[in-house]
Amino acid sequence: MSNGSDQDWTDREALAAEYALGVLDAAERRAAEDLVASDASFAAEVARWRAELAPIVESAPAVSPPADLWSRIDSQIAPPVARAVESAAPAAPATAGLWASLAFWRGLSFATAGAAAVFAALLVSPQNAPPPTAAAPEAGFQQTVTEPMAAAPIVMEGGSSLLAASYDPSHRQFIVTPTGRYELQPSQVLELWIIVGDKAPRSLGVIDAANPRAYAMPEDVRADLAAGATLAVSIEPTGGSPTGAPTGAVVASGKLTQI
Amino acid sequence: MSGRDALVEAIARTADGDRAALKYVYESTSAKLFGVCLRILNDRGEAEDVLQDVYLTIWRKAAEFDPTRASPITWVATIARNRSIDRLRSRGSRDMRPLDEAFEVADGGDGADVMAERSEEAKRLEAALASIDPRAAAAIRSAFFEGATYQSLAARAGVPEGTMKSWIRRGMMSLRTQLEAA
Repeated sequence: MSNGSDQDWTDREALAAEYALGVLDAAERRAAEDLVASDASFAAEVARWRAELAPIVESAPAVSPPADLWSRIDSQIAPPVARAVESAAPAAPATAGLWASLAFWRGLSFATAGAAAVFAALLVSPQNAPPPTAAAPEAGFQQTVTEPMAAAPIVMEGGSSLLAASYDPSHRQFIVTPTGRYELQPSQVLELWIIVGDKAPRSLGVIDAANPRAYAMPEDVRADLAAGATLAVSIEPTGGSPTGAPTGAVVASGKLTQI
Repeated sequence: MSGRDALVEAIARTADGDRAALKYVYESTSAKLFGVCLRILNDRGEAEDVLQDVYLTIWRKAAEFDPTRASPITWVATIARNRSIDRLRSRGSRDMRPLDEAFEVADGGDGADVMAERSEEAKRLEAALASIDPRAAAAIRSAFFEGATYQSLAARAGVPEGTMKSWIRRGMMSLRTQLEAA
């Protein structure tokens, strides 16, 4: 084959790019691995390509994993008691204290959630996360725009976690995963609110307190789901707040930040 | 503290064996990483297995994360990508997807307001990918997400292997030029 337009690139430069991308067959891959081991400048070129290509990975759509997956992971990591024994410290720090202590949590306002305002009651209705068989191929080759995701751990007073919320602007998916429990009466539900700046709380809908779900967001709410907005959870009667503003106690909150 | 900083700190604490920190990493990244696993494996059961393995890997390798070299979300997502591709290779070549979709150049439909929110890193890369031959850009994305070789990409696109090689090489060269100019 004539070198044609590839002539500006040496075989070695091309190999570094192809190896980093992962398109080589097994024999070529082994040759590249040998070069990585023996040639520092080749290894550096591969590393540079890898770092440059890496952000492509974020263009995959966010999909809520099954609710029990965390407990499956947690059961496989070393029990904390073994670590506490190893430690010379008199007492292992309480895990909840970690996040409660971070500056991250400062400045969360429980007060703003009490402000009265009239809004359309439920802006959204929950829907199940799309099945991956439908979502994955569709997302396959889109020229998807990669944008930063925003996420907020939503914690109760005292620092224990109630929900984790994340918003993926590339795919317009707002996912809420229950991470803790709040004892609700049978006639009560959890309702999620968004508070932007000094504006009144706006309902994001009644949240499934038991299962992770993707929630559809109307267009005018999406712009608010960016870093900086505060999410708060209030206790409301079945069906959600009848007034469009929080009527019950605000039991948890968190701030959306870019991840 | 930004979410990015909080995630960097959580990974650092995970390296110290803090389970609550790993749980935070899980809560803030698992939906994205599950999407990566599904994108590559196209099988929910396998994606769940791999995702589990990904967080066990993060638990063990958190100390290797260097926040000066990659964003935390890119670092964890890269682990998900690598583990998924390992799994894909171990099952052979079944489930080959057609490449036709690869050549449909559709942007995500995102408005200017949303575009403005993108991080500099991602903005640069996506702009560079948008500026090169769309066939090359699609093949590069496909190779990246599936670990597909020249042979497989060529078969799926219905072109000779030499043609696919030329597309990708020229595409990567243009990509480098664009990234250097940006």
